[in-house]
Amino acid sequence: MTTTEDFVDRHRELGSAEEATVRRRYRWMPAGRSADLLTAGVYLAAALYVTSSLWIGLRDRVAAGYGEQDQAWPTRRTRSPTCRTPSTPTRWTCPSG
Amino acid sequence: MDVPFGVNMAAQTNVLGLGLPMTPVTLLFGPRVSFVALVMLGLAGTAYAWYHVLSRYVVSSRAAAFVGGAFCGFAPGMISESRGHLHIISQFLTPFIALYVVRLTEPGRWRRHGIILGVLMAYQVLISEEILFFTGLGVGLFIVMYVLLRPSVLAGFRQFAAGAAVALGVAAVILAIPLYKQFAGAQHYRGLPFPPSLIYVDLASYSAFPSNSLAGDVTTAARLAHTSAEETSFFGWPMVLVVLVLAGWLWLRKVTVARATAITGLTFAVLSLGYHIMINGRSTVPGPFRIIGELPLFDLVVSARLALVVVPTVGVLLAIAADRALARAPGSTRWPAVRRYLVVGAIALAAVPILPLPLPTTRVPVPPTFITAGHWRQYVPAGRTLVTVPTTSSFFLDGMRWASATNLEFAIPRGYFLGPNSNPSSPPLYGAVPTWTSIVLDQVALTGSARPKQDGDDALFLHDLKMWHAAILVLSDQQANAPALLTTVEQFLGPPQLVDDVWVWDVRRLVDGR
Repeated sequence: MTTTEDFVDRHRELGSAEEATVRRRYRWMPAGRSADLLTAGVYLAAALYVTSSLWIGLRDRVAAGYGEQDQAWPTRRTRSPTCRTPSTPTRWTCPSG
Repeated sequence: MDVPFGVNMAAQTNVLGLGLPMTPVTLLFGPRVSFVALVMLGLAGTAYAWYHVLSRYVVSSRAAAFVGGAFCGFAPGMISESRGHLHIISQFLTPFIALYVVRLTEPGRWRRHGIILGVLMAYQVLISEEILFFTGLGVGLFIVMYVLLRPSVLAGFRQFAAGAAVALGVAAVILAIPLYKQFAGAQHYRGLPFPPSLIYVDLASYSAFPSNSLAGDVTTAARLAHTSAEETSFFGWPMVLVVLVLAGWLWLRKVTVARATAITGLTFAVLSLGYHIMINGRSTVPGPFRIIGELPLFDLVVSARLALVVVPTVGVLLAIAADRALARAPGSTRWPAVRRYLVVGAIALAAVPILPLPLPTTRVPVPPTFITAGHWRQYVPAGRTLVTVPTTSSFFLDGMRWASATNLEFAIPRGYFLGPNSNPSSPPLYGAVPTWTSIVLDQVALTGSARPKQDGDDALFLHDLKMWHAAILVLSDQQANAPALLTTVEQFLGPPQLVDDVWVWDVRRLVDGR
């Protein structure tokens, strides 16, 4: 038993007999490497599903947000190309400075 | 970008650690394919990395580790950030960094683990310094809590400290040049373009459903989040309820790792509320973040993103709870069987409303034929730039899209990046320092009203073209308010040529003074 196992508190109460019982009860669950492969496949499929709209619109579509509100963020709070809310002294006589 | 000043790439969220390995894909299929592939791999990779660490070191059941990994990779905060923040969602090194910090306590292996940890930290810097900082904070608090709850682990402190010193040394050696470039190189800057205190989490958002989920509602989410990419804290009330109950259950069972994890998650949830605790948009009492908010580095933290630390703590708690429910006491009595179905069922039911949907998209104009057919080459010699009308900025990204469509074969002035202000003591900017011409063209593009030329404007316009080493100005017919922009620029340069699907003003002779 390593210190790491002790540190992360992995429970070790599972005795061999008990473990065998669990294995019998959950025979339908893949174990070991096949479980790892299945997990990787499911995660990849889920990520593919989430990004499917981007894959389909690869030529002319990008992820969308709230629209106006997302656009307003840099405008309101950082700088304003319309000079309505000048954020630095050089913008007070915008655009000439 | 940003001719003639350039961009400090080390000081951007450049994701070099992702972009460099993807170079073959980018060269073969273009940056769009690389980007979407990285979003996909970021989400799935983060989930699998957590699954791997959980299944090997924390829980006995692969199924429980699957639940925890799935939450860590596909939590609402991750889906929200995946709308554009590659550096945030690519957290596949995070669980290994946490693991190797813990493994420093293993006797006799601190040197080896220290070196591995140092390499991992250095690589994480090439993906996201922000996430490395959050990881350090989260793991640090977890360890402190764990030591307080189980002081016996202090016996490994000496090798832990030695291993940590090795890790920091290795990372410092690897990162010496990138960090020097970042903090002292050309176009370096300090701070953020906005006060980070502006981006906080509304307490009500924790129980709200994220906009891009089965039960999501854009109107509610938009009211509670600053932008669509910062729904970091939207867990949905069923998940909050389930996690609180499960954390309480594990606490009562004296599972030390769950206790330390729960305290860590709760602490970061509270800190994410920022300087003022807001509930449904109403300010209530001062937030605890103000205690640390002025400290170095913390003064640059967007507190809303501290909620991203809550995500893996919830994932770990779900995994431990599922593991306890699935693997212990295999049905010798009625109650454990009921508990098993209860725990797994509750997690599943709480997850259903926040299951993600495909990312919403919006149409952007495709690059014009003038660019894709390579006809720009006849006009833009080496050392000169292609100037879009309006100029490229966070508001008008055509210049960057067009350049990326040609694998960056031509240069542009300005762009969308983080750069220094004209006054070094002022906060940095999103993009280049505005010039007279860039401001005028931005105004016209946004308002649709042409700007009548006034005395002295010619000199200001020409000054900017010379500064940018302009070869041509290009206006696409797909640009919003193109007629007003055409009228405005015509006052300075006369009528343009129509080449393919764009208007082109050839200013090479004008800029050269011939």
